[in-house]
Amino acid sequence: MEYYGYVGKIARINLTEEKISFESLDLNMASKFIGASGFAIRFLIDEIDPTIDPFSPENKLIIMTGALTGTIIPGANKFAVAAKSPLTMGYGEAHAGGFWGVELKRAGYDGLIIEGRAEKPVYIYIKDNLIEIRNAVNLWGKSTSKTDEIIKDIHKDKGIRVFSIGIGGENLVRYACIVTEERIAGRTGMGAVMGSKNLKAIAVRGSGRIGIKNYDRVRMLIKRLYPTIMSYPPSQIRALYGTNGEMPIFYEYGDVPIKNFSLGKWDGIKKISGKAIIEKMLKRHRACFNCPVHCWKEVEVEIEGMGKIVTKSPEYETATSLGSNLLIDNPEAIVYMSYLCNEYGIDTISTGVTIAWAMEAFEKGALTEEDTGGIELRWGDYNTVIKLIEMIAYRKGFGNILAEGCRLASKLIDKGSEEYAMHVKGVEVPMHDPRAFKGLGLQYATSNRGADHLYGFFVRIEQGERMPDLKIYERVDRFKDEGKGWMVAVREDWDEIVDSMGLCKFVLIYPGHVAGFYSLVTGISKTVRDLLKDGERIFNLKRLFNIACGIGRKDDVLPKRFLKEAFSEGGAKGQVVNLNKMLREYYEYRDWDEDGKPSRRKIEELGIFDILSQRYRKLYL
Amino acid sequence: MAEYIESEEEIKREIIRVMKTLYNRGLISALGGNVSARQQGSNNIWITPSGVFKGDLHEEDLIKLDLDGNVLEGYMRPSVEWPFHVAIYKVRPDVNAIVHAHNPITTGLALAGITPRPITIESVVTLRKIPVVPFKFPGTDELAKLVAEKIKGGARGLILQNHGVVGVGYNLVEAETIVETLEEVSLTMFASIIGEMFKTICGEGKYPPEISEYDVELTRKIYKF
Repeated sequence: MEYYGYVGKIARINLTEEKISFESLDLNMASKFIGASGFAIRFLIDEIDPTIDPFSPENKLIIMTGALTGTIIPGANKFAVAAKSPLTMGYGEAHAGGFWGVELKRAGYDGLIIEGRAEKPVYIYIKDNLIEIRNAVNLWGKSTSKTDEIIKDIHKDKGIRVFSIGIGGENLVRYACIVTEERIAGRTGMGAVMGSKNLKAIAVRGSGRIGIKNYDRVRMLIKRLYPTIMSYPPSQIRALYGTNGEMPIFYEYGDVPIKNFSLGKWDGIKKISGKAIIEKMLKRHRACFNCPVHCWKEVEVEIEGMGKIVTKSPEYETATSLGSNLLIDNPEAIVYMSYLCNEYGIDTISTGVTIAWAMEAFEKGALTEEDTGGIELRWGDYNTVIKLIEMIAYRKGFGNILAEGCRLASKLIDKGSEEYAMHVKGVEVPMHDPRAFKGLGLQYATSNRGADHLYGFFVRIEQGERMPDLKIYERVDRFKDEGKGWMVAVREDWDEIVDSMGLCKFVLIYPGHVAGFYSLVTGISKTVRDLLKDGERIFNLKRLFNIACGIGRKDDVLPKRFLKEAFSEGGAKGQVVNLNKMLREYYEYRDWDEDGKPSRRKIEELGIFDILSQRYRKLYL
Repeated sequence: MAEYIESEEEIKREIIRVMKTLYNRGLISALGGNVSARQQGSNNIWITPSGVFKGDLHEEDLIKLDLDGNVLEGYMRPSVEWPFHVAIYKVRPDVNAIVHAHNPITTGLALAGITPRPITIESVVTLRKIPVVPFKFPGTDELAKLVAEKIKGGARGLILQNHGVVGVGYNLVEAETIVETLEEVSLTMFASIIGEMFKTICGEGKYPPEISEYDVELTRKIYKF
């Protein structure tokens, strides 16, 4: 059978039994769940018992590429990693770009399902049809870039792409990430799940091709689409300064978190914005596979005692979580901390927000030097933060508590410190303040993987972007609550599709064009309307997994700070989020009951009920 | 005799021809301008795609929409201006084709408050009266409502302030004619305005710098004319 877009094969690798098997891709399933993110939940809901411990061998690490990943479409380089998350204790998912997913597809796999637990540290080596589970005892304890280097040396092949955990993942830091050449599957602790399987890395080399049904028409469309892609203002800013180029703009809106989301204004912004960092330290512009935007900036910086390091310029999320949110305005220190997190393999957002929780708890007296092992936590003190990052990765001393993430850490410490823990469903809040963009608050509360800015990125709609393709015709007032329920739901459904296609959200391709590309590449005809239905199916299926994990209405909440405390200055002055009002509208549109469970009518309409196992059907008895 | 109705294939071919002609005349630019047409009496229209370089469109790029904007056929994203296209079709059953172009001279003069005047026969007969629609953001319902309001009285075209022009017609040739005539009349007006300005600045009987009388005479002598 000939496949287009998809390559038609999924490999199942059982680390306990050291057994590898192959399954061919069911195109009927593929047309309903599209790819990456959609495939991940489709396998996960069938194969994982929602009640298991995320670190048990019964958890599975599911890595899936998108329907368009590796094709000539701009920005089509992403893949998804999913498992039961040790951070949310529900659905976990992270995405990365770069080249690894493309290489996996070229090796002939739409995805990998990794099961069990190896007895000793191992890495997986894939070269086209050959898959080997190899000894990684020598790689254990190595940083992510070192692991990459050693694996390339072992196989004497610089073209290998490596996806590996760092020391954070090995030590089961609950927000450990997985790294491939500085592109990172960051959120919900997928690196810790990989570490729990004693799996250090997955190295891939592929030599195959990805078929495109209507190659000439796809090429013709791409050629004529470039002026539009590159005319999108945020793309132009990212092309110049990376994702952090937008920091001063977000700051004007009162959106940039400062001092654990407690201040509306701060002068340090201009020192740590993308423009400031790039003008001072840029070495070269880089890009993921087939991307015209080049938001990946490489910088060079002199670090005391280390000499020069060349590393990725911090993304907006990193520069903010390790910068303004901790009142650190030293750009060199931020670059270094970002470098450390990537080398240790821990998520920069969760790291920054968890440390911010500790700093505020220390300032307010809920944490003392007794708890921290004699470390004094002061805002803006980057030397301490650098020390803490290492302690988190190795789970040393107080780092062992911070490695649990701010939800669990605040429960362990107690003494009222929960109030300073900025998380939704256990996932640390990313660097956009919902008091500046109200609908974003609803998005954080309802996203299936906890606080997630990219699950719809409603900020854009509230900045005033219209999306006629999704029937959002009018401009939206960012401070209003009314009428946002359905819009947030539609944006979430659409982003399920973008994540399933393997497209990067930083290369704007309008929904109408995405539908065109999918149809032309795979030969399976879809309109935006069809895709939105598929997105809704994927979203609701993830929700059902969460419901089965015991996550529902009670968890669709925001930290109290967003609901009660308004800023006295800045772009979001005087604003708080009226979540319940928006949530009511949202539930009604989604057709969910009071507990946040999709109605039987809805899941039947989406064709989900038929594929559910007895465990999930029981929810409807 | 039964009325001749163009086939959908003919309509699509014609849309591409009009786009190419207007692009070559500089009335439609790389990303600006769109065209739609329908079979007479039909509730479905064919429209050009959005976000794609307009100088090189092909029939398979066109999208079929119903009058609520739902995509019925095609792989592309419909022009973001589809709301005003369907708004026109809804209020003007006599209209089967709409051309929206970015005529630079017409749009520029309108910004200075100068709209086409009866300076040639074409401007009187072909254009009649062209209403001006105040600026509203492209693609919005607000713009669609205003356009429908201004055109429902029977106008053959509109000027969209800070934006461009619209020509409508029974078929595409008619809509194209309106847009081309608008620019021709505006260009003629523009030239006359420049002439007037020159006279005002330099005075009666003054002309731009000329070549020397000696060279003129010599050339006449050589060629005996």
